[in-house]
Amino acid sequence: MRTAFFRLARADLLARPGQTALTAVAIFAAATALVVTLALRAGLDDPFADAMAETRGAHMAVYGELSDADVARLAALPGVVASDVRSRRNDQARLGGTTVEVGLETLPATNAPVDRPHVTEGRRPAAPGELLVERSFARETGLHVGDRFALGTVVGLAVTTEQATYPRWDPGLVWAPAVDAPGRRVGVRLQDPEATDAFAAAARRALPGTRLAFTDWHGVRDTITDQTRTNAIVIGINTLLALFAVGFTVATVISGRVLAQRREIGMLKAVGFTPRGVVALLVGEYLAIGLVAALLGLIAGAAIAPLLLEPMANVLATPTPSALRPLPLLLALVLVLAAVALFTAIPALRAGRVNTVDALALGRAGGSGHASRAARLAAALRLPTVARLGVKDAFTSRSRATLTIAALTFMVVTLVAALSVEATFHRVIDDPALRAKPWDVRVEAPQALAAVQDDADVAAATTVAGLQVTGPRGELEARVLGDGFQAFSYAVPDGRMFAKPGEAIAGRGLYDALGLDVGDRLTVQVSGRPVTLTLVGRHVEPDNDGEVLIFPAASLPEPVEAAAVIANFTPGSDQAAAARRIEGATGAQAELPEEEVRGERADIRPILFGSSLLLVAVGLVNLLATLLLVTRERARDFAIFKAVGLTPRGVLGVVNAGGAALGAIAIVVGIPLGLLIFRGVMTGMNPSEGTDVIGTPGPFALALCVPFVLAVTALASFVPGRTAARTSTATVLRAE
Amino acid sequence: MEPVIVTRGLTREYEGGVRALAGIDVSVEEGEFVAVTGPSGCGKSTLLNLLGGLDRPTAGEIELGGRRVDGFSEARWAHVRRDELGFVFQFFNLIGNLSVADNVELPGLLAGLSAREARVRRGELLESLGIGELADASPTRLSGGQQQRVAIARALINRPKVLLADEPTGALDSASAREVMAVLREAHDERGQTIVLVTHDARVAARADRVLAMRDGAVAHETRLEQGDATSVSRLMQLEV
Amino acid sequence: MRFPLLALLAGGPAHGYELKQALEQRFGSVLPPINAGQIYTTLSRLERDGLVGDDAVAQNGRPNKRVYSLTEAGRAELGGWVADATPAARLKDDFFIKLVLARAAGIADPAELIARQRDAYLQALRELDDVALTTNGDETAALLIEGAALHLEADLKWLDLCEQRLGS
Repeated sequence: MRTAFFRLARADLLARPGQTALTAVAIFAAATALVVTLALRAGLDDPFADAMAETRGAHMAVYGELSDADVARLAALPGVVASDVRSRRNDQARLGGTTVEVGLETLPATNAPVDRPHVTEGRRPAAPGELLVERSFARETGLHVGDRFALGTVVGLAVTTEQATYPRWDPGLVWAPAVDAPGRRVGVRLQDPEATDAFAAAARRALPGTRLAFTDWHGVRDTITDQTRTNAIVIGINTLLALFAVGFTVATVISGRVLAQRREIGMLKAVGFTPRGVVALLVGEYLAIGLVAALLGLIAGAAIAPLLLEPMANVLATPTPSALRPLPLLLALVLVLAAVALFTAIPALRAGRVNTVDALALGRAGGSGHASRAARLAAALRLPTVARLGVKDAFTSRSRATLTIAALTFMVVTLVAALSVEATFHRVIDDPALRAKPWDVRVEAPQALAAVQDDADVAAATTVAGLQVTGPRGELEARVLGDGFQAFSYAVPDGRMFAKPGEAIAGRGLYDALGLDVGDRLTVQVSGRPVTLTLVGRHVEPDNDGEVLIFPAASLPEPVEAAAVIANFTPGSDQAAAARRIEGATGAQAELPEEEVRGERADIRPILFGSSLLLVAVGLVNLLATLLLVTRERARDFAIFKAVGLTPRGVLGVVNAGGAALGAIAIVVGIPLGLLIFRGVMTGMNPSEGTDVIGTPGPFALALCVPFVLAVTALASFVPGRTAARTSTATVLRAE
Repeated sequence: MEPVIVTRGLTREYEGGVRALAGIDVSVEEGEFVAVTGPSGCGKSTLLNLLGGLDRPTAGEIELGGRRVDGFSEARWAHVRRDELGFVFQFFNLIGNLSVADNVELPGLLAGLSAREARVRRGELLESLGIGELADASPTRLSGGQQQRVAIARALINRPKVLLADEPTGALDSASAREVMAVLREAHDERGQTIVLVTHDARVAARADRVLAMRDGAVAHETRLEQGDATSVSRLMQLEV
Repeated sequence: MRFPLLALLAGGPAHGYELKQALEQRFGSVLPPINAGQIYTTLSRLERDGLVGDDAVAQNGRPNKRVYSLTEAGRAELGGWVADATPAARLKDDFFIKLVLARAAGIADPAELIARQRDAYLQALRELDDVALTTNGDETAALLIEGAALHLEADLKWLDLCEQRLGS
């Protein structure tokens, strides 16, 4: 029995080397995509937490001129579970023609209990004069491993959670083996990571009279999360689509081929195979191909993954994850093989149940001879004969047509999703209000209001402050705008922007958490005094899960200390130049939200394009496999067409017309489906702001899908079509 | 009588030096019914495929209606097939998902007949072949003899110069074979259809005006047949007294 | 002609003319023309052998009509004929003798002989087929033609064999 199985399986695989190879390629592509996807997803859940764990990031860092005794006192404070001290001084260096601030720290030991920089490139410094440079700083300033500058030679780049990415946080970090400085940084890990304020208070009490500065890990987290949120969503969407693609490809390619083997299955049953025997034979056969192809795919995937993982690590500010971890690789292998077995067994079982005589007849001819609805439509449209034949041909077998349409639709969905990501970025860039930053520039110097207002290009300016207020269920994050807030309109999808003191807007998260609706009144305690606000609108709020309250500063009984100045420029002014001018005038950093997003988009492009490319490639393999299978099944019909006088171009025309008809359906179905899926995934991944920031690709961009899909279809039909046109008619027609 | 088909030194060699056809000279006259017989592998089907442009000669010439066609491109051959030739195969080769009517009309539409004209011709043909009522049926539901008659109708719709038939009765039981042969005989005897037919069945070959017996890729012998004059079967039986 | 007449008489007594009519009715167009003399000669031989007997029936103003019937011996003879299988047709082929001897003597090209013979068989087959068109639903005739055609087809196949083994 086993010998029979083996011989049959081998004969079947060798009899159709082309199909076997194509099946193998599809599984290979699926396995490759799966490995890359799993590797990408592994880093997505909570990238910051991963980075924290990887580097044993400090929950609190204390900076100051500290003696050994001071350090010991800090380390002994309640709640501290680990601490590490290193020398630190701020220095300056000229890099790329500008002077930059550098925070120079002593390189911690490899087994330091807190804040070990994670080397992503190059090596740890071993000798004096060698430097380890924080990765985002190096990227921003153009430093590479091997470069030499005033402080020494760069021998490695590293990632840390000591501070958020440069230039949002500065100075840039550099580690050297020995740093001589009076200043010190003590990093501590706390029993309760949330108890940072208590630790700060305790530290101040323990070292009265010493000037201390603190860095709270929450600040680092918020900056990085704010920066990476959109990217994580985009990568998430693409990886979800990739998982879908992998399953789909394996399902269609294998099911399609098994269904095409119904006649052989009938023969097997005729010579005495049980239905279970048939299933076992086919599953074994495809598992054998699958195993070889999947193993190759794992290798390819592990080789490709770093190309995407590295930019992702940059974007998410995490150490580059390795694609070579055994568990995800094993998982990918098991998933692919399970899918292969499943999608072989289901159609094989169905085929196994078909009456043997019917199965034998199935292979020969099928169809009812009645025109499908689409074919009748083609006839009604008075299409030329060739086109009508193509349309009719394409819809002959419902399962085949469905399979092809599904493969094409999948391509359209991918395209639409990629276009939607692009459109979303565009929308957010065009309107910073969608990230709750309805201003052109933000200057981190509250006292500079007058200076900013004086700038020629500034049309309006006011102050903004962040504060904690106490709501009915505890602390709430709030922002207040100074006078002249009317010029800074948040994006408010529900209700309206506040127009006078006493009115407020809030993010979705706050409404949901407090069970409030637009129009309700909310009383909060500010510095112990109640302030009652009318909620007049819901704004798009990316921060703090949308639990943010915004209102005019004039609503408060007494003024609060502003955090920054925000301003809008007059339309048409050179924003970057104006920002530099303001920086010069105020001595503070001026931040342009638009540039941030633009930078983010540049960062994420390689990942987005890379993963979209992978998806499109998988889609293409799938489409090609499907069309080849379909065309092979139709070889006899095409030979007949040729025998009754259809030219080779005519045969190509038939194949293309059929492909175009299916492609048209795929476009009609795929575009709304793609928009819907994107919207669904976006909402699912980011309930607080997802639906509000979704960009819809313009009609022109969507219209571009049409020629693309038709071109892809034509391209994918070309090979099988040409094969069909070239096949020797005499050979095909004699074989029965 | 003008020859419709002339071949000179027609040769077909396959890879590995196998000679399927070794320099055949054949001439088929207009209105003639030529049968090609011979054991399997003698090259008779190869000859037919070459005459229909389904295969390409290694050497030699083919003239169809007075012009050389052996060097034609695949596309020009397709036009020749749709306008001047009709094909009938052993296994009918109907398209399973098209109705009988669609199968028959297809070459007509490809050749540029209007839908109306194609419908009219198809109706006449099916009627004359005795399967007028099957127009809307699926070919897969028909008997072998019916399918072959549909295939003949399809081959005749463009009123071809020559009908090429490859073992048209090879897959049929004897009753169906007789029906199909009756249809071919009628086409030839009553409408003067030129036919080149490949068969290994002597009975089928005996209907032709001329029988070419092939051996090893060459015509070994040629027989001209006369219309039978016997009006009675009585001389077949000899009762002893 | 002996056994056909015995078989016809098994259905009951009949006179010579009735027997002729019955034969023509059964075999129709297949039967070559029979003259009455043949029938009477056979009948008198059968009577001589004691297989049939006869009674004279008087007819007004004409010679007596002789009505024949089966005797016991005749019935037994007929029984033997019906019960026995008809022996297979034996090949007594002039062409084969011609082919073998002419080849041995070197007086003719065997291939040519075979070709000529094939022409003849094919022509015969063609004529048979043409005749078949004229049978108009006569089942007996159609069966006979089929039989003859199958024999001819066998002959043609046998010619192919002869050609392969003796042709050169």
